[in-house]
Amino acid sequence: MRVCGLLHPSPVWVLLAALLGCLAANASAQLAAPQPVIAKRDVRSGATFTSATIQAQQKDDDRNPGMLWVDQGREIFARDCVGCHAEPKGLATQLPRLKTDGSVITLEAQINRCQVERVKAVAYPIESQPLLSLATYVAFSSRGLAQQLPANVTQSHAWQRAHNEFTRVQGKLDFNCRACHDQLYGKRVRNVNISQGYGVGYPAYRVEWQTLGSLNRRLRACFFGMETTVPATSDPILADLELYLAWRAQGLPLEAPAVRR
Amino acid sequence: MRRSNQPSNLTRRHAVAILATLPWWAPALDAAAQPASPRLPPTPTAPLPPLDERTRGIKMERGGLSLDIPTMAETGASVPVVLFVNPASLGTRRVTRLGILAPLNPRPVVLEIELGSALAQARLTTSIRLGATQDVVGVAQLSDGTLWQHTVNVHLTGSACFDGT
Amino acid sequence: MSIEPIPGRNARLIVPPLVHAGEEFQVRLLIQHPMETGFRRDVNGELIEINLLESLSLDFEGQPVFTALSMNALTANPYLAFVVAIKQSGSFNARWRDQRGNVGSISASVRVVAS
Repeated sequence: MRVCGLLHPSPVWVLLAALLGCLAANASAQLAAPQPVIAKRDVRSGATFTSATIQAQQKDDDRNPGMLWVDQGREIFARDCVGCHAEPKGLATQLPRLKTDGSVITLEAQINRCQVERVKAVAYPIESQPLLSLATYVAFSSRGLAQQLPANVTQSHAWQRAHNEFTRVQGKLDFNCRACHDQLYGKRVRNVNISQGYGVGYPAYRVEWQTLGSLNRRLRACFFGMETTVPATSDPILADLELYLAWRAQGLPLEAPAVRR
Repeated sequence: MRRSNQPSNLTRRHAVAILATLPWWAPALDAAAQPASPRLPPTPTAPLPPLDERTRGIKMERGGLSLDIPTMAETGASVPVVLFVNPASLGTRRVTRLGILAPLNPRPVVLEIELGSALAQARLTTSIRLGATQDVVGVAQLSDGTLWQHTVNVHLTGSACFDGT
Repeated sequence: MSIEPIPGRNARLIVPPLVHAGEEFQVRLLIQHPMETGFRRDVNGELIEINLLESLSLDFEGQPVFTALSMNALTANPYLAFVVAIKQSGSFNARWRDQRGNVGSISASVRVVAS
């Protein structure tokens, strides 16, 4: 017996229902897209957590030692890079980026890809003077601009891996990154202000290093500080974290070479 | 008396003898060897002992010197300093050297600078390293040899995170 | 592994391009140098050999601005600033040498305009 034509499970209705369900699921997925813990209006540059002395050093290009790396990077760029990139401005906003295989390419990794594939030279050693100089110059050239993240970055495996790492309790002190940088920023660990933990100032001149270093090195220093296993420079989790920090920064302008404690 | 005079008499006698044996054109040669300018560049002053030795046990006034340095420093790797001598306190003297001592540093003489004639002020701005919380001593040396000092206790607050990278 | 030498400058000597005769202005010098104290250790725990600047001087057309006599505890990448006054156009020249014999120099010219 036919109850009602409307309830008849014809293929058309099944398809329609499936479509509606799909849309609803999609909408709820979009609503539930993860958001950074720190709201966009509360995002603050790491510079605002440093002392007046260090802030003054960063503001004054003629006193910021990082500018010496910029000067050298400019020369290398003019020699090796202008063939492809007439304009250095904006290049750094595209990094870190996702490769089609799901891995993350950082600023330094991209420079070394260019170095091998375009310049036809040997890749620069990690944290070497020419690599840091080029990276600093390229980042400096996008000062004041925001990093452009890939669409649906939170759906990437890289984001998920970094998210797990950022929120995983580890080390002898039972810390995770989130506890300090999402929740306790502005408070002090001994004499040091806890920052919100972004990478927009890197490569940065760190007084503690007494030299300029990459975000990769800074992240390894975080692991060291947490008294946990420090990943190798080449560990992809560090590149994933760079992407994750850029997502958390939500358009905070690039400010390399920053000066940090 | 006679004994003590003897050596100098001998010397004089020798000098006369040597001069007598020189050819008549010797003075000309001598003049050619030296530049004609009567004002030779001042012979560099004999190197002074290190600043910490020169100031050891000496009571120094502050005079017109000021050492501007933070009393709390978040890291000893870089502490900004300004050393300045108020020109009104100098009279006819000028400042010849500026220095900084950090007695608890492994090398206590942080810095010593000789000031040149192109300077308009006895003012030095720089950044230094401090190995520990300590009294940092700024020193100015004046053209009459006077030493002025200004001491500031700088507290190093140290670092919260150790960095093994 | 040999790393190719970095082209270009490894220092900044900052002066205003134009000044009035006798006007006081700042000369600022920033040098890229590790100022190794000999007390620091590398990541492997090995002491890093001492390498400080052992001489550093700045002059204006041969007239001395300053001569460093001792630089034991300047920061890495040292920064020094002085206040000068000049009567005629000319250039400032800084020269330095470190304990490994590396030398460096940088010049910057200033034009004096009629007041």
